[in-house]
Amino acid sequence: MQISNDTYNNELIGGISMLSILKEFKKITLTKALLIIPFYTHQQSLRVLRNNNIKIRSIEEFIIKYPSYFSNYNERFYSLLTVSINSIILLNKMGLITIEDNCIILNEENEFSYEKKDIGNRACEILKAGRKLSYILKDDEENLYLQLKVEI
Amino acid sequence: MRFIFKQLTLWLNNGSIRKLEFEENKVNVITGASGTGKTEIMAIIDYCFFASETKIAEEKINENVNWYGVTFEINKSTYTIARKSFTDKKVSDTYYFSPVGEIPELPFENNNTDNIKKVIENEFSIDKNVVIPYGGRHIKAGTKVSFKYFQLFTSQSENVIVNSEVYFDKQNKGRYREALERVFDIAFKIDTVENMLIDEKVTSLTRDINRLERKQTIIDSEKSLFENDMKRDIKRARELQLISNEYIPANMYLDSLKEITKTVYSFDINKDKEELVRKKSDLLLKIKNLKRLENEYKKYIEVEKSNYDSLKPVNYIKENYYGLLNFPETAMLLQILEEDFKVLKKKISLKKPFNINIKSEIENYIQKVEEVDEDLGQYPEENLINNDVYEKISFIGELRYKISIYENKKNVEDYKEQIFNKKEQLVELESKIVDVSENRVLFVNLLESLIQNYLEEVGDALGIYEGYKAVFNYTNKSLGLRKPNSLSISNVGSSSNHLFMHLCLFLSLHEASVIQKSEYIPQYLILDQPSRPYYGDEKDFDDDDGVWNNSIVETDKYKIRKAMQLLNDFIDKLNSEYKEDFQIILLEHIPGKVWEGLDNFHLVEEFRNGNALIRNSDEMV
Repeated sequence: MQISNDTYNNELIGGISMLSILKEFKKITLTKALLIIPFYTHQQSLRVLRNNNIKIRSIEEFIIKYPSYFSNYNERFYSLLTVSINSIILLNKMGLITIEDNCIILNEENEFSYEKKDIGNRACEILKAGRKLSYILKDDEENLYLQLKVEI
Repeated sequence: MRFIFKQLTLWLNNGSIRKLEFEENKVNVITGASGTGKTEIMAIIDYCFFASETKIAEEKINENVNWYGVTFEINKSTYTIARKSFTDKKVSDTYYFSPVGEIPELPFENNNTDNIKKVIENEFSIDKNVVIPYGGRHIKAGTKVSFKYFQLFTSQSENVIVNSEVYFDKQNKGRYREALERVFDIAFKIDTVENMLIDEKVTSLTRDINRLERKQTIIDSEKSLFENDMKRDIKRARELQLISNEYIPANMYLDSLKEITKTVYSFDINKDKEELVRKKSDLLLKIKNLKRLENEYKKYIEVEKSNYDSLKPVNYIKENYYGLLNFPETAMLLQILEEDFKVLKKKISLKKPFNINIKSEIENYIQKVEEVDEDLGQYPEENLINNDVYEKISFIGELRYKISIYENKKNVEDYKEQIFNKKEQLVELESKIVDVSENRVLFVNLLESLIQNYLEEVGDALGIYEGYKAVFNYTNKSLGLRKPNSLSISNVGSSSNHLFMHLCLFLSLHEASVIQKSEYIPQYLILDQPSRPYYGDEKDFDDDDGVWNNSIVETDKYKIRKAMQLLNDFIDKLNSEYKEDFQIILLEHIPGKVWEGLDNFHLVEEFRNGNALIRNSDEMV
């Protein structure tokens, strides 16, 4: 299979998105992992997530505060589904995570450089947003899927 | 200019000295058989006067000579210049110089070329102003004239003396060809150095003016082009009402245009209205998003209810399998996901996502839109910024850029003033300039009348050309003959006639230089075998072997005698008529009886019967 440059870039950013959450949790279910990227690729959501002055403590709070941001979450979820899966595979291949049962686990032996000069601006923003998003993702995955209205 | 050769000295390798002494106001004859070194004398004189190459023969002559030297008088001073002999055709830079004409036992290097040349040039009245008036391929304009150029008037070498076309020596060398043309006017004072300097200035001024005028034309045409451009801009500015209606003269175009760009224009854009419109569109967008969210919810509920069996994400992934990275783990991953989603779906299917009360929010927004609309009601509905303002803004933007170009062009130098100044200078100089062409015509007239006198003296020796009129070709510096009462120049045949023409021209040139009191032309003449036409140069006219008596026809004898008579009389003429000194050096092979009875002839030496320039006794043993 050919991998275009584009794919590669998206998957790398995706991988970093995953890592931003794994940094906090160390372990996350696969289904939950699939929810991460659609948050970050939505520019406005990302802005809210990385802003320390905006308090968001649950997915419900996020939706109530910014309902319009979620009007097309379902669409985003699907269009990024392959990227999300590829990112997981890529991280796995890089040895940064391992997949066990239905979870991905951060491989803490392999360090990853989070320096801005190494990973770029966008990735840094994503990492910044990781703390708040991981807080939101603490919720049950069924509730998350439900509230985000992802069609299963 | 008085110039007398006193002595030619050769310091020989064997230590002895060979010398030839010359007298002033005499035809100094060195006569003799061929191969005795007569012609070398000319080359030796040339060599001593700094020649950069030499025709002196290595055999017999140079191989025996250590130093060559000449002693001569210029004006009232006597000088000796001696130059070391050359080796392998390479001329020497070693000079001996005596400013009092001392002839040493053996010369030694005591001076260099430049210094000696300076002294000689001074005697030739050559200073820094005596320069080549215009350049050529070989000589640059403005370089100092060499005194050697004036020696062109003082010698007739054996190959030139009977030439039908070329009258001057060294004309095979480009430098001397150009030099002759360029120094002729100075030499005979047709043109004075002062005049030439003015003339040079005039030429350079004219050149400058032409150059500047050419540039000015370009500037002018560009200027009018830019003026037109600016005029168009002004017109446009008026159309857009950016400028008052007053008339603007052309020279104010640029300033007026600049003025337009400087003023800050508050265009009639209603900020309040703009703000309201922006607010409205924001609100509309929010309403749209919220409505969509509402729809999403409805749709979600419906989908979830109607669809139990299929897993949408899994289906989606399967459909888009080609977009996945193909690793063994992928399949495993999908399997895990499928399981998880199944569980997830089951759990979720019983629940509904919370539905926020966005209805009231939407209504809230709609309410706000209505308020904005209310406010907007007082503004006209037309476009917020009309086309006119757009045009004005874009025009001013363009203008800013254009002005930078216009200003660059405006700063381009204007040459009008320079041209005016130079033209004034030119007029002033031109009034000072002496019309040389008139002088030239006068000089040619003088010269032709002098030549005519000599031609008449030659008389019947010219054969059928007796009585013909002299025509001096100024351009070629050559002499022609024309029939009386005819304008066409005859093609004169017979080298005897050519010889007489050469002699007549050169004697006339010297007479003219004396008349003109030329400081530049030395008053001597070296002639190499004027008897050539009558016998060639192979054999000797020795009295003893009877060649002269037996093989020379009477008419030729008459002509040779005539030529000698001409030279003899010339010296008389200069001495008595002009009170001037003159010297002729004649290298010949005629016997003594030819000049019998001619008072001004002086036999220097006869290179016969073992006597030569380099005698056997002069050679190294």
